[in-house]
Amino acid sequence: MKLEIKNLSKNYGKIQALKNVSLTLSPGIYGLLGPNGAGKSTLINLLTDNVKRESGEIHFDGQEILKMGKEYRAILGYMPQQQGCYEDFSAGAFLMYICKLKGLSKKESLKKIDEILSVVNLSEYRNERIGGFSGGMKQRLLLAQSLLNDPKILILDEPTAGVDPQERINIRNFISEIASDKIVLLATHIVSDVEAVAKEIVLMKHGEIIGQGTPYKLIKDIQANVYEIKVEQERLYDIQSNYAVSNLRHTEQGLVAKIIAKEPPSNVIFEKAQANLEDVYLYHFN
Amino acid sequence: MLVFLLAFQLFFYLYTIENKQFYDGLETYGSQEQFEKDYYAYVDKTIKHADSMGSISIFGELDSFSKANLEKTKYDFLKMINVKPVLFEDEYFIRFFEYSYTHIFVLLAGIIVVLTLVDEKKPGIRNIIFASKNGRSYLFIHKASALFLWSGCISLLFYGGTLLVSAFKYEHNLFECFLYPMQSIRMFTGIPWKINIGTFLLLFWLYRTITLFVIIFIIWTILFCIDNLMVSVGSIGTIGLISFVLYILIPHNHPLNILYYGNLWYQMASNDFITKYQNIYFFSNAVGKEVIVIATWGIWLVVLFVLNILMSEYKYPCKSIHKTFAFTEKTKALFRKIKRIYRKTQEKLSLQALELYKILITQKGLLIYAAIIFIIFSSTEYKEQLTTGSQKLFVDFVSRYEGVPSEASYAELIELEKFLEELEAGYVQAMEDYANEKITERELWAWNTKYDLYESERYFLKTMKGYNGYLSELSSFRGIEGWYVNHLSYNHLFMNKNAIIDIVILLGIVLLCSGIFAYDKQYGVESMVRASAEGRQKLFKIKMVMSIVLSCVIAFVAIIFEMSNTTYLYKLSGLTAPVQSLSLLSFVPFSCSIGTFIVIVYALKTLTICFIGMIVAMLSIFVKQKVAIGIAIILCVPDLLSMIGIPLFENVSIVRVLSTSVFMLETKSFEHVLCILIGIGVVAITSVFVGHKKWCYS
Repeated sequence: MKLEIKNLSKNYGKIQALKNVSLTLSPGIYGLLGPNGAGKSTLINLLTDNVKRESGEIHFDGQEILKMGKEYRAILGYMPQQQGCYEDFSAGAFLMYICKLKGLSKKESLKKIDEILSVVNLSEYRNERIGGFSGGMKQRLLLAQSLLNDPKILILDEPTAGVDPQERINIRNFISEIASDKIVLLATHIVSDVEAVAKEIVLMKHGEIIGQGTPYKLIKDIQANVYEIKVEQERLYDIQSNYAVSNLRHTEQGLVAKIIAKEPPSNVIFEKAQANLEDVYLYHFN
Repeated sequence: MLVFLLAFQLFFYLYTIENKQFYDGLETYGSQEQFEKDYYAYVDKTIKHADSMGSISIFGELDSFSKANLEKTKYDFLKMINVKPVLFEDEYFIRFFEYSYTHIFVLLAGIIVVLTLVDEKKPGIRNIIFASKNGRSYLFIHKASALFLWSGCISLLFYGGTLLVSAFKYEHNLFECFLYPMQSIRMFTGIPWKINIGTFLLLFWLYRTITLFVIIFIIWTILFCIDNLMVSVGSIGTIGLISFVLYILIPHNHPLNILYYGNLWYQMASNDFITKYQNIYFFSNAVGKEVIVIATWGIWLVVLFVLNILMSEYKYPCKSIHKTFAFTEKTKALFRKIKRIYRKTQEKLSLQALELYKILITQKGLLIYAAIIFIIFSSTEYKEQLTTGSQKLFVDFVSRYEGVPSEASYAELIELEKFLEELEAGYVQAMEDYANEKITERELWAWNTKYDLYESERYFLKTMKGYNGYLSELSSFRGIEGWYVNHLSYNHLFMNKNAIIDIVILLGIVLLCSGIFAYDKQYGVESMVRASAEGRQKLFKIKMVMSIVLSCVIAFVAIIFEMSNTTYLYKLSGLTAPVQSLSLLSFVPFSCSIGTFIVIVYALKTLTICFIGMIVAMLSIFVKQKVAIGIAIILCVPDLLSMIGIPLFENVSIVRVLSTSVFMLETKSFEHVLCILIGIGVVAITSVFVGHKKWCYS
């Protein structure tokens, strides 16, 4: 199972939102990491065929998705960024509506809804109005709807947006459990969402892919650029102005700042520090 | 908003009184002495009439309403025997009291004030308020007082403003007459209140204030007691509808007229309370209207206060200090059960039913339908039309001879003509004889009376001659054997133009259909829905069908009201007659029966409405709902201007097309209507293609 993206481009007026993006995805979780405006949502909209591309191709198992049409959408599960729901509907009614849109029969739909609601811990809220749900519950519901048709391709756009830390961990773990036989593309700008679960991270900036690889590889690539320095309180502002500071901690000896820099810092005592994915993010996007 | 409403109301008032002719009291009576004399004579006559009627056994029965009514009337008017009204130019007062639109503006202003309080329904703000020390009964009393004060201010502004404008328009000093007895205003001659005009105006203002206050208090209570907006607005609408129906259906002199006078709709919508004397039947007693009105206010206020207390206890029971009412827990359990059943039913709906649910419930489509039905019903005239003598003769004749004109019908007309000719000859002879002094004036007057008695027959004969001539031409030139048909009913059916109904239909279509696609976009669900297997072609077809169904329902509602109104007022006969039997439809280029033609006209109307619905639904794929509504309002502007006498853009009105039959008669061309329909159809189909491409493809 393979999803190939070849030279994909998209413009919004004069703004080039996506510039010749190429990517190949196989079963597993892919983290799509980038700041706001990087082109993540545009790429996702192209993958879900919600917007028209300027150029390029998207193939699933060798077939262009535009030609597949309904067949492609039948194997697609999509969770959008906006918490869009019909607030007047109950959770059960909303999922039933989505089931019907996904072409499931009534019997299948009822079975699937029962299963999925228990998986996302919303069974007791089945008959409650969505308008009364908390942010986390809505996110879980939206995640649930994306899984109703057992999709082969699961696209999640900011699945943990507006959600508390516990919920975020729950959602992350859940995605990890179900992802073994699916292509999961998880777009986010929260590093911790993908750090532990992603097979590969794709870094996007200004509509281009600027880096791609396993978390280990990406971290290794910038390992030489991560330093720890002792800094006085009075010099802290200067350090923050000149370097990307990923961590600041108090020790018995004073303030210790973890910085990311292309060159070793001058006029200051430094040590090499252990890099992580946050440092990768800062290195590429600061 | 209130200032705008006030300005608009005053402008509208000025416009409506612009062209009306009216004679003031001075012109009617001539002198103060005559005015006083006439008033005294009227009071004396009323007292004597009450006395004499009371002595007749059927009216004078003890313990009967009639006796009580007569006694009360006599008693009321005996007080007025020494009142000396002052003659003055009172037309500005009469114009003010006859103008009935101020009540609508005042009610709208009151509703606006209530709507400003709606923000406090939001859970966050409401919880903060209810958790504060003075956030319950104390605040409730203050809010009720505020509403009362606002009612007073609005009534003063709108009614006071209109009266001032009226006085200014007629160039009179409003304040000079304040000490005159209220009977100095001619329309109050029949009101037995011994007060001056100033006191009367004060009481009028108080009456209007309290009536408005009771109504907006009802609205406020329901909006706050019921969380669900649909249910609360529906409840308010239901109360309004019941009041309105009682007001329309119960005649004011019916034994149950307490339901008429104790009706808030009557109290708000009419000045009859002030301008007409009437006693009400109340358990064999005759009571004045003012008693009933005050009782109505009292009952409503008590009910509303009790309701507020009960709802407060239901929503926020104080367990620690007071015993919770047992009913609170049971009621809550019942509501929870109902909610569960409702939600489970929601799950069982099909995709089509869920789409319909979204439009009717979530997007308040049911409310829109209710508003459309209400406006069409209240704009439709159900009062029996006055027919002239010649019209009655015509209706009788054509119903007896319905069908192709027969020898018998011709014979009857010839006989009538002969009779009228003889009568005319006799009258002419009588005039000659009187000139030659062969007969007396009295005898000539007898002839004159006899001649005048047959005016209706003469007119009827003239009409029938014209009709026969038309049918004869129809037969000779077009080979169509026309029938005698009652054209009065069909004139009403085909020529009944009501711009308000047409505007309401257009706005209804737009409000219902503009959310079909726009709603998904508005709630951020569109991309998710379009990414599903059946979320494009299949869903598009379902939504298209929805737009047609919704439009058809509006069309059927309008058609049902039109047909029922005509059949209520007239009998629709001769449905199988050739359509050209009606001279107003002589331009119809094809042969069919009247019944078939009615079906064709209504089919065209339904098609037009459906096409407009489709266009609006497709537009909603591209633009926001607000834009579609804005466009619809702009399209209504030519007709709105025409309604207030500015027919500048009448010819470009799209709303005219919705009144298919009227439009056809105005243009005297069936082909014209067909061309326009085809044009709209082409636009509709094109919009469907474009919309389909936008929705179903990236």
